Amino acid sequence: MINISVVVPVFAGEEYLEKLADKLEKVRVYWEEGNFPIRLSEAIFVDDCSIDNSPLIIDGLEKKYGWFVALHLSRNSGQHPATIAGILHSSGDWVVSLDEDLQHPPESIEGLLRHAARYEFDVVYAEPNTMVHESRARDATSRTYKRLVEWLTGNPHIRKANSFRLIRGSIARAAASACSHDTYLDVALAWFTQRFGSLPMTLKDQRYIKKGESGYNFRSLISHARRLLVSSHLKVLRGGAFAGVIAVVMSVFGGIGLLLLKLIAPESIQVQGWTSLVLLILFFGGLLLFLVGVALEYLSFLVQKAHGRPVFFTIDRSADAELRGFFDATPQ
Amino acid sequence: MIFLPIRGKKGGGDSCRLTVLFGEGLIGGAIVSALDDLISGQGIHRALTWGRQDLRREEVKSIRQTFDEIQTEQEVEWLDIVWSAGRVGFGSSQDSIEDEWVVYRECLELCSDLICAIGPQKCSFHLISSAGGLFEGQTSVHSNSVPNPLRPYGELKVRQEAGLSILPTGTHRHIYRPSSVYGYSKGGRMGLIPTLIYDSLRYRPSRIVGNLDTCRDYIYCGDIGNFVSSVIENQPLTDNNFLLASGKPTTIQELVRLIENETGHPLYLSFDPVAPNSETNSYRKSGLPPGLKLTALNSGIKRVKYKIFKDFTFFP
Repeated sequence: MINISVVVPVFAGEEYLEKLADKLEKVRVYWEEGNFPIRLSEAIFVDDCSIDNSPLIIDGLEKKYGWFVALHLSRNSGQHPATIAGILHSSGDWVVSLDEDLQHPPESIEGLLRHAARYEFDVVYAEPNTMVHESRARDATSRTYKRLVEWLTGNPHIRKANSFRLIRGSIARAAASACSHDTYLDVALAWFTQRFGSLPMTLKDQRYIKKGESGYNFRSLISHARRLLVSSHLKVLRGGAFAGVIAVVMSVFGGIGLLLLKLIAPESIQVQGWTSLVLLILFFGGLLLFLVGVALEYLSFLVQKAHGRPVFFTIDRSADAELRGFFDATPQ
Repeated sequence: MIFLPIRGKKGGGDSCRLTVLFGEGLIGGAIVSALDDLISGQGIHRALTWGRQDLRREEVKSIRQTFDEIQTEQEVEWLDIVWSAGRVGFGSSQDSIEDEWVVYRECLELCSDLICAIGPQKCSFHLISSAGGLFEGQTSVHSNSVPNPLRPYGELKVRQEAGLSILPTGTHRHIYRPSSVYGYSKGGRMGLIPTLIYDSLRYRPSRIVGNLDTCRDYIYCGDIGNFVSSVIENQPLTDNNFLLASGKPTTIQELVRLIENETGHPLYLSFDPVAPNSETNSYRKSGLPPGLKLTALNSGIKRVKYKIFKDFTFFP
């Protein structure tokens, strides 16, 4: 039997939690009655110091459904740390993280799992095929920022990142334990695997669409973006160091050319000193750029180490064959 | 084993509660420490040999004699017997399991005699079993989960629990099923966590039997000591099965990170490619008994580190 753990960070979900619990229970019963080789073994609700009645509701859900777990964080830590806390309390072969507000349908977990089993992915993100917030500005900003970070870091998976994700349990827990207080979970996942996939589906943030409210305010979005950038190894650093080397090489060749010109045809130099000055600035500017690039690379290496980036990680994907066999025999 | 006189509820000096503890190892030691405030006099130690049966017979006689002497001196108003002894571990062979079973049976017979002398209604037997052995490879284990041992060690635990039926009717039976217990006791067996801490402090390589993603549930020995002590203090009149776990699965990877952060030194790890004990094991928080106070893993690691520091004076 393959166990699935569900992790739900909770901040202001009193309106949705019971409906979400009901949907999760339906999925669990459907799988159980259909003799699926998978089961929802635990649903971990992480109360991130909620601002409403959510803590009481999740405590009630824990009593009502034996397989629900209520966790209460001692202070508000943010969505990613809450998700990480939930993952670190999970024990499933696969871990699904989803939002509290029903924008991520639990019925789609099966689809994510099918996709992971079919293509042997370790992480599968839900990929919205429509505008999630139905706001051009909000959706475009999010998309553009992710592309910018993807370009700056060279991490091609960031664009797919979404809080509705299915992660292989061992990788989820390893990445979560490697995260420090400011590490972006999806960046940490890329330290453990390259097998990322995404599954297109319709996702709608009903809370934002109906009320114009979101779990994220502008400040938390900025903080989110900062964390994403800080956690990543910036490819642009290498670009800076490389530009420094180019500048030094150009100044050396320029210097040689200038020297030859001075020896062979000094009358052609009409203004004395300016070219030498430009070449010196180019040489030392390039050298400084290169040395700063090297120093930043060292710094980046230490930051990555402090963040917990591993040298290697072993994995066992042998159970995927059974899952694939079942899904092939059971059309969706 | 040790006789521990506990202050009686009646007050006055003529009566006492008596706790008889078999096994003063990691858990037994933690129970003695937790009972410290309740102990009214000096503990009386008596030897109990594992190996030689002829020697053990004499020791059993001596234990019985000591018990009679205590009873002559004071009225024993309540008797608690705690079994936290054991030499075998997860990887033990069937032969060593059988040897341990023989000793356990003999001790149960001795305990039955002691219980009959006091009266079963005034006696509790506390058995420290093992959730790791009983539920090996099971996830989301809860209070009603059915044991399904995968190795001789787990089967011994099932037999030990079932063996309590030979105790006189009316005895209150409390079974404690702790998950992976960690802690440090001088001269005792070092488990995974103290070994990793020790190796980290000494810059020594460590060998992991299992994988970085192997999940276990770790509970601090002091938490078990405190819980057993509270049961001894409160004298519940029902039979109980207590699942003692943290409810939080922890991977070796997470453990390594926590230990490295705590000691400030790196761990040099190598892995055993053939890992006979690499199954994930986890427990539901909802299955834990009320009143079980848990130490967070990072605090527990800190405590173990300081205990190791106290014992080993030289570190490079």
